[in-house]
Amino acid sequence: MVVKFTLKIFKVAFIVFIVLNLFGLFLDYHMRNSNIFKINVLFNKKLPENIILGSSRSLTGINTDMLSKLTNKKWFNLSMDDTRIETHYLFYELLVELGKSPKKLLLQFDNSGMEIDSTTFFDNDYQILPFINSNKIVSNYFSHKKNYYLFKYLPIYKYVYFNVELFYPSFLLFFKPNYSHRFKQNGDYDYPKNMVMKKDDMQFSERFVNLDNRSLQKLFDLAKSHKTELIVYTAPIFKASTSIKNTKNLSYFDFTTTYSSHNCFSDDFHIAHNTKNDFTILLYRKFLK
Amino acid sequence: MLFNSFEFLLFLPIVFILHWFVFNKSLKWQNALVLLASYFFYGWWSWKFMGLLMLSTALDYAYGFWVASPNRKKAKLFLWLSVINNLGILGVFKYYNFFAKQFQAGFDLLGLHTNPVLLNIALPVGISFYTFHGMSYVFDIYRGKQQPVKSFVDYAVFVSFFPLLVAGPIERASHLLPQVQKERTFKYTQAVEGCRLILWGMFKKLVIADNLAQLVDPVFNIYPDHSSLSLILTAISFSFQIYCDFSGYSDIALGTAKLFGFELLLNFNLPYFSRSIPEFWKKWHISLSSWFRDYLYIPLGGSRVNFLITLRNTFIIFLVSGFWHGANWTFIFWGLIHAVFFLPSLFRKSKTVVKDENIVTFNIRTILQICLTFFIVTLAWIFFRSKSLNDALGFIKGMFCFDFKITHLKTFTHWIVFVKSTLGLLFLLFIEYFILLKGKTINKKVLFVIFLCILFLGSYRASVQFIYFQF
Repeated sequence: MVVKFTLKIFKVAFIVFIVLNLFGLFLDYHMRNSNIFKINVLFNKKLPENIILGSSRSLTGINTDMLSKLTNKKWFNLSMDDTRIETHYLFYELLVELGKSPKKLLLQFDNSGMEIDSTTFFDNDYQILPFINSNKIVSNYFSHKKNYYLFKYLPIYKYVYFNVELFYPSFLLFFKPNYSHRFKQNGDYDYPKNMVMKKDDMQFSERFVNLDNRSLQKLFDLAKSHKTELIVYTAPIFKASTSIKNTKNLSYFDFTTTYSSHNCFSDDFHIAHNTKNDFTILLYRKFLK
Repeated sequence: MLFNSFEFLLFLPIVFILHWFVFNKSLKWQNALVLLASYFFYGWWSWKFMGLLMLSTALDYAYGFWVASPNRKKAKLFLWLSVINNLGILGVFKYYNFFAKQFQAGFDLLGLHTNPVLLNIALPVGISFYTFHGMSYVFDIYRGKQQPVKSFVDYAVFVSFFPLLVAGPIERASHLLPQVQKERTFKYTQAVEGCRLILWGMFKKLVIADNLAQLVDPVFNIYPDHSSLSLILTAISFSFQIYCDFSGYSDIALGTAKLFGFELLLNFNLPYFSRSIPEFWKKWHISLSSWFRDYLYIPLGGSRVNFLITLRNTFIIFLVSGFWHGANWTFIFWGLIHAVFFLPSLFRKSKTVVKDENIVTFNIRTILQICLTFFIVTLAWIFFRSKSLNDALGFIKGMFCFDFKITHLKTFTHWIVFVKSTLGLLFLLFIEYFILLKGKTINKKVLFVIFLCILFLGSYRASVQFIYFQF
């Protein structure tokens, strides 16, 4: 009896395992061929020679169309919210590998994004997961993170673990094949126009950023070897200054204290929609004119 | 090790194969394997507290022999020593800080300022469960219901059997020990039923409890920011969260035990279909309420004494039950609310008998009774879940401000989680009403749907520990 039971359980488990993982492989293929996330755009679309990389602060804080008009060159915003320098380096590395190495790269960084390499998943790393088996650089990116082997060798695992973030959108794509998640055609994303900080009751804070970061250094080195003009800046923060440790003399510009009125911010970390154009012009005048 | 972890998915088949294919020739070896596996299971969480588990096991094993003494005076002395010993362990790890703070507050009121030493140690997982296992063993020997067990391994398996070690059900020596000592034969139907229960428990935990936790926890943390409607929805959600979390754990425990040929005590029997608070207590955490009934309520005289003593006993059992959950006034108040709503049944005792069996047909009266009972239980859960009595009262006050905006579903993700958990809840009610309440078993097709729900409706990213681990 116990043999019969055990064999039956293993048989059922084996069939389920195979079917589910084949389904996972199909979903990987389906997701990779869409343009749902920024990483898909990076792989699947032809990109201009000027790229913006960063977190939500450059995703929502720059008017890319305006920048294109001002500089008379096409720009694309590859920034992704909740990402760190490690992810930005991955994106740049992929651009180089795919022969899409930009001429100009505008890189935004902040203190939280510069923390030491972590073994935990960043909030939006799931978007990159469908490429884990199709690209070596992506696979390396995840290799030191938790549950790497499960994500790599069980294709269904990512769709179960991130069912809200990956599995449901994969179904949505059957009905809306051109759906893109939180970005427009130029890569920008806007918070609601009326989202402006109402109170000014925050304490002034000082943020510390350490530029002795392995990924940042690698990004600088890669840009140098591929002759990419790298422009690095910190975005404005409400009631804060940034203290930067820069022992390797990397060049950057600090915009932390550029705006002081709470009307310019949608929250303490993000400039409001009404200030976006002004900041874009500021960036243009400072670096790109 | 958590039941809903990848480690357990590997651990369980390995122990199963070793148990039935490698060590199947000898019961001694099977029990030794189960004990080793149980210690490994517990040690995965913390090796530090393994010593405490072993010490508690060894002491109660020894007390078992001493309490069995034909000299009743000596037996009684050791019985009390055993009680002091077990409650002492619980007292130090679970209640010391609470009492120290209460004494400090009391002395402060008298103008005497004290600065008590507080212990900065984590509560060992499962301590309330395994100490109660040990106590039940000693009590049963004292009452002559159980003989002391010769084999330490057998006794240790009873105390530490991994499916029930950290969150119950609280087993009785007279129920589980004979199963440990008897030659085990594999029963196909029992094992299949075990798998069904495991799957059903996983559904409750991952699809309902863990999804609801994502909506419930933030609201309880900052309840003043939320509208009445959101607070009401959150209170109801918590009722289902704790039910699915705990009964899910119990289902997995019962199912796992069945795979090894053990039958554990039923811990939940569709409690939210109860028509009164007394009926609720016959169906909720049955192993704990029956433990208190047998080892506290009945020795105090139970209900076979005059009305005032019965009243006293009822309040004692509910207050102790509340305090068992944790050293906080909120738990005591939770017990008190149940005691108060238990009272009507004491007044009506001679006229009506609390029904044990489940309802099969519904009418308006039954539905109203079920809703009223659920309302009282939900109200009491607010105290159970809140950090302090003030928070609980503030939460309840907020529920009656008649502000009907939805404030707790702020993001798109919140709405998706809400939809996921609502779908899960509807499915739970469907299964409980159409299948379990009518005594049927879940068939293969439904099991397949449950499996798919676990995969694609479950919450994995925000995995939450079982609530009863903290007790």
